[in-house]
Amino acid sequence: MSADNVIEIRNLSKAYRDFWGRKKVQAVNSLTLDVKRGEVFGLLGPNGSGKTTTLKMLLGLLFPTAGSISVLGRPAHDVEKNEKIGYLPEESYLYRFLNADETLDFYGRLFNISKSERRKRRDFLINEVGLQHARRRQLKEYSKGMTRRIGLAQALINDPELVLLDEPTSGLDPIGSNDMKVLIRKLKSQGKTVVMCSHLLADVQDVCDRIAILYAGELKVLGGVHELLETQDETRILSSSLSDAAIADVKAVLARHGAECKDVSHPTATLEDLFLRTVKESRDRPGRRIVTETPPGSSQAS
Amino acid sequence: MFREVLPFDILGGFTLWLMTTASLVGVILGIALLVSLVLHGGAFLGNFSRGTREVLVDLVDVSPRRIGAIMQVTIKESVRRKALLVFVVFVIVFMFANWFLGGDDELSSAKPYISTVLMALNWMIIPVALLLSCWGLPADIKDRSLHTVVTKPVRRSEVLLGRMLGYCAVSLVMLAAMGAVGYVWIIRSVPELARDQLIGRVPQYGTLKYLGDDGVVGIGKNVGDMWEYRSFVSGGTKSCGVYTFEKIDTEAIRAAGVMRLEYKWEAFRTYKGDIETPVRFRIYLINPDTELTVRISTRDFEIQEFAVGSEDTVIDIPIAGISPRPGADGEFYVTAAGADLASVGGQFDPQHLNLVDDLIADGKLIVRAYCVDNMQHIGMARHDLFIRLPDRPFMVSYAKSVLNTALMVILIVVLGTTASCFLKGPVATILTFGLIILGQGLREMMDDLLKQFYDKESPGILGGGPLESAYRLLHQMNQQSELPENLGTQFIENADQGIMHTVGLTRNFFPNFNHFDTREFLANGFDIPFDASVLAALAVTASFVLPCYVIGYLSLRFRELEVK
Repeated sequence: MSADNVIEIRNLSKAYRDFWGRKKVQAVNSLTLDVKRGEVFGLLGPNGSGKTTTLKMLLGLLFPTAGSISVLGRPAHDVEKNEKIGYLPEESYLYRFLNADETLDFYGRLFNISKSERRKRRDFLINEVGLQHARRRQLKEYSKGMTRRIGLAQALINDPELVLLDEPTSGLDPIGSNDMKVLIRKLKSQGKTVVMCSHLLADVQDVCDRIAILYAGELKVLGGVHELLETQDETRILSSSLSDAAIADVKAVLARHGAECKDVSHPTATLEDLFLRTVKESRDRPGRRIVTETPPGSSQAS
Repeated sequence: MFREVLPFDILGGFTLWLMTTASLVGVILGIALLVSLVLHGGAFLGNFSRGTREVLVDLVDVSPRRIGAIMQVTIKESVRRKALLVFVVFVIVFMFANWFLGGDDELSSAKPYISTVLMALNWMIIPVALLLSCWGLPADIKDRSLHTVVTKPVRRSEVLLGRMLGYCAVSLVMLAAMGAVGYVWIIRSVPELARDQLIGRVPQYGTLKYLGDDGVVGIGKNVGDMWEYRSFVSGGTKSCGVYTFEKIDTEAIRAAGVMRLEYKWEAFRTYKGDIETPVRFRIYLINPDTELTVRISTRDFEIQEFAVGSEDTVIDIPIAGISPRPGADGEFYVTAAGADLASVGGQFDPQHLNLVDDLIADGKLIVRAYCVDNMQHIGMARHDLFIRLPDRPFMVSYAKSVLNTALMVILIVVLGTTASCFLKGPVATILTFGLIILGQGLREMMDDLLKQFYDKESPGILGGGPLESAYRLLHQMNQQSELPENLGTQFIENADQGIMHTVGLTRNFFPNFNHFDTREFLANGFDIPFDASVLAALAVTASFVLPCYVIGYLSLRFRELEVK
């Protein structure tokens, strides 16, 4: 295994079979890919494409039908590799009768972390995921977003080298989703490797360095996000606002160089940006309202 | 007390366990080798040895801290799922139990009170242990909370051990609490008249052989009783029951100052006459070395035909301080408080007769019992006569009884958790419950059948094996009729042989739950013998822990938790 690679998958196949051993579904078919140390890697694909199956084979929850997996230099079924892995499942499968403190303490004990260190990490992570106010409540009383947060905290209790996130932003509101992305970037900046599965392509695009797109269990696309999305035969120039005359001049210059100006418009922010900005401003200045249309029954807009 | 009380053969049991476990390991390794051959072809041997090494490491190299964490979560889970409510139910039951135990019989006997507590303990704790252990792991897998655990550096063996220990801890704490409540209830509820029954009698049993009418060793008489527990000796003949006691604790007897004999024989009358006239018998103590023979009491002992079984009878024989007295029949008797001794032979100085020194030789003593009345019979069994060593407190016996129940609970948890590693909750419950039923009821029946089957001197199983029985049923043949000789019946007989051999091989996979049952001892005022009961229960539980651990681990290890 190359020292640069955290995960090496070679010709990995997985077929689900029925009770009689007859093949039901070929979930993954001859998958080969590497995940490099320190990168954020995205596994994409529609439902049933095999991305979660692949993740679960990495964790030893499922056994491959064929092929091999090496995670941190060890085979997937070797439990000792888990010392350096953090895993956030698609649904946070935690013990619902425990509270946040007990949950993190329990998972910390599974890593043989000392009591004082567990307490320190527990306090830090609960603070990090914003659950200080609910740390003594049983998880069964948590909302889905809160459950995802405590799920993330348990995934990080061992300060892992490799973090596997299955639909990390699923169930989170845009603020939580943004926090998650900030955290993923932070993990990357700490030199950790992150592998995530997601349906939310915008999230993946925001945080991933490399992606693999699976379809029907087969690898269709593999590469850096930037390289894959970059359109080589077009150029975009972003400037401050121009007058109509200036735009005409620019078009003339482009024509002189044999290029065609395809679109001139004001760039739009993403809805996520608008939402986050609105929430931030509402927190800072309660009572202020920003509207572009007059609401029905209202005489003025502020 | 009608159960055969034999010390548990620890060496024999261990040998049997070793053989059974070795067979099981052999089967598992054979299957593993075959699977490796199918999956890996030519490289099967390398993969097999690597897999075996990994399995061994997983089984042995476990982390107490991780096991402790899983155990703690298991306890919390059980507590928060309100498993401890069973204790509250138990307490409520005993708050009103006296309403149902106020009859005349209960005024003079402690037995119903003790039986009620032990029965309630079993009925409450068995379902708790069964349901907790059979449903916990499947629920954990179904909720997928186990998935998060096994993605940590946790071996499946640690999950299994943590779960087993957690369920054991919850069940045992509840059992201890219920046991304490039960004890207090017995002490407070048993009527004044029956208080003296709250003891732990310590019997020392001998072996029994019968002498026939001519005084030669025989097998005792069958008086036509369906129950063959007792054999009978005839009155007015040389027929008698000869009990030989060995390894008598002479120091305990010396310290107590008396040797206490307790008997519980049955009279059988061939002529009735006056129904209230008892059948008489005599008891002699014999030194096996010097043959010094001493008759206990100048009077004959009496036994009522229809009163037998209701009360035990105790004879206290003082070991010293006895004084000589000439008898009316010319024999020389010695008397003492509570009992009379009569010399009928041997050389000794009656002035200085000492029971321990003169009659017990190297811890060995022979007791002979004769029926006096012509044509009448007395039925004797091995456990009908025993030397009663100094009694133990009831609390000690009760604690041993609860200990046996605790060992049973541990076994149920171990079996249930193991079954839940490869079965869903309801099926695991049915399987474990089936093992309990088989182990309680059918195990003894299987043992009896196999004894008949394998015993060379026995004519075989009456009515044949299962197929022959079915054949007889269909052809309306009784059990004694000879089967017609043809190819079909030959096949049936051979197939029955095969079935019985299979039963013989597999019976050891069914734990004998009868070893945990102490009600007979405790309710009848006996101390629970460590070697015959507690040790046996301990051995049964211990013998299943390791195989179940291995089977449960292998089931979890090779199970795809996330399989669709």
